[in-house]
Amino acid sequence: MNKYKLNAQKITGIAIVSLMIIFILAGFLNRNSFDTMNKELILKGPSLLHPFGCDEFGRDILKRTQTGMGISIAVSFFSVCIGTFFGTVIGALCGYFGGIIDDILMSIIDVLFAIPSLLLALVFVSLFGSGMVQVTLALGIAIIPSFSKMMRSEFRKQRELEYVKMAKLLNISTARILFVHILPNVMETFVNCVFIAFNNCILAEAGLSFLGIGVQPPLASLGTLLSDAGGYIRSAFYMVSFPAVMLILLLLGIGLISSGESFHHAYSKRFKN
Amino acid sequence: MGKYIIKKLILLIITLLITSFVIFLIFELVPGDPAVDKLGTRATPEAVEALRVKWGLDKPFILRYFQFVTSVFTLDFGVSYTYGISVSNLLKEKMVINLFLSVMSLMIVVVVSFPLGVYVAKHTGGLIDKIMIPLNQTAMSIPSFVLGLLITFLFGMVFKLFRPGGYVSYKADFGGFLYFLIFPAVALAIPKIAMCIRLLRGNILEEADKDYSLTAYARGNNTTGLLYRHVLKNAVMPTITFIGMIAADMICSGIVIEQVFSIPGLGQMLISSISTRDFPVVEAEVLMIALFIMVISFITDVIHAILDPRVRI
Repeated sequence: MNKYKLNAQKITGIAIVSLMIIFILAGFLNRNSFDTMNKELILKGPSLLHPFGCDEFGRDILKRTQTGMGISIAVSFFSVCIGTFFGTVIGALCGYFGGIIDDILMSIIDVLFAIPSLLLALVFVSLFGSGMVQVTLALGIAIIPSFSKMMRSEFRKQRELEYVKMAKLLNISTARILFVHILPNVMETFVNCVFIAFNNCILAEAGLSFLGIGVQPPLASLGTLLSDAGGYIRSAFYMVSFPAVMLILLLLGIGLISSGESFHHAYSKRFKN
Repeated sequence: MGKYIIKKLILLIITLLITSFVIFLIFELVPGDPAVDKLGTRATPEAVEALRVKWGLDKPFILRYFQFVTSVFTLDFGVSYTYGISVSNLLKEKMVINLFLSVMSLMIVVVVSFPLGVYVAKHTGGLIDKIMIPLNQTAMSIPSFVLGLLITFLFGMVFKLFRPGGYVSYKADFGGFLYFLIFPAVALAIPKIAMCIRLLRGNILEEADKDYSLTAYARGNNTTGLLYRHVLKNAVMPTITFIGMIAADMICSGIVIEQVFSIPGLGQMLISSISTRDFPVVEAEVLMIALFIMVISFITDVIHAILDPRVRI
């Protein structure tokens, strides 16, 4: 079993992401309220009490950024869980068994793969309505195609190897072969896929919320914050800059974890077959 | 070559059929009757029935699906529920805007990333390479709508190069229209440029390690000749596929970017028709976007086949 290797880039990435998580957790220590409006603080710039300033309703942006990022991460986390589960199962079954079901499923996935995930999520949102749960589901479904495609090519390769044949001879159940024997061997691709999917989810969620069809008020994610701030870009640029910097840092951290040659590796895998 | 193209064309048509079926089915399964939605629950059954006939909802599912598929060729997607005018009229102008936006930003990506990618690969470990790696990683992690906000602030308000929100219609002033689109196009392009440079650099380095490069080097090629005559031809292939994927992605990121720059394009139409549940418009738009993506992937396949004889077999 080859261990998941860490290099300098990944360590930097993990450091940034942990900092972000600490930033979110520090939100619980923040006394300012998330959605109490305050007339006196409307569009007040950064001060000691409100380091990120206040928005058009006098709400503390620091607290809103912390909560919003927490929501962004939570939504993405659950959608990645959904996508990873179904993606891995479909990919594993298709790659391992092959045959006609593989052909049919893969042609459907190829079609879905052709439609970008943001568009797919948009269609789902238009069907089920907008809101946090719907967005989570929509994004989860939207990442299944790319995930299962990558996992399938890995399982296909492993299928031909000696240890799988041996396991089959020893009469080990197929489910065990798939998830206990093969899965650890494709761990590196798996972990990279998870992080790439996580990255895409945060991006797509921010995009959806920015368009106003993601997380609905009174809750807010980073995308909502940015879209609110967009209207005040002339008078209060700090409203854009702080949430934007946090979003970029978060994406940078996750990007670094899934990076190195693995990015190129994961993409080039998409080209084969 | 001809055979390869025909094979790909057939595949394109099959994919189109499946995709359109999925799109049509999804919107068919939505609960609720659009005619009742439009007229309200107090409307008389006769009025609802008349509207259903007018919109063609009384015909069986298969017939309507057939109409939907052929609409790709006839460009007749029926009538918008909200606006009451034909969908193709509604979409025509928007598609021109998005086409220009995507093509423009794709051109920026190609023009910037290819020379830079080759340069960085050739001078691996050099100063520019060392600067480019973290810069690339950062550029990749900035969502394009955040870039759009930053560009609006920087170029629109600090340098006053354009008026934020002052979209110019291409019918009124074509030059002004193109000038305005430069800024969203750049916002769309920057993350993609970073990805392209990285992919190209990785591919060139990978190809340069292979045996044929060593042979070519041993036969007396210098590094420049080796790079341009042998390595680049092979390394550019995955990048072309990637650019095809970028083109598809651009339409999608374009939806968000439109909102930032208040461009009345496909994205705004899509959002508004989704919120008013104007399904003929949504269906037509999603189908057109999917068709666009499929055509792009078809074109990349053909370019591949032209550049690389091995693909044709």
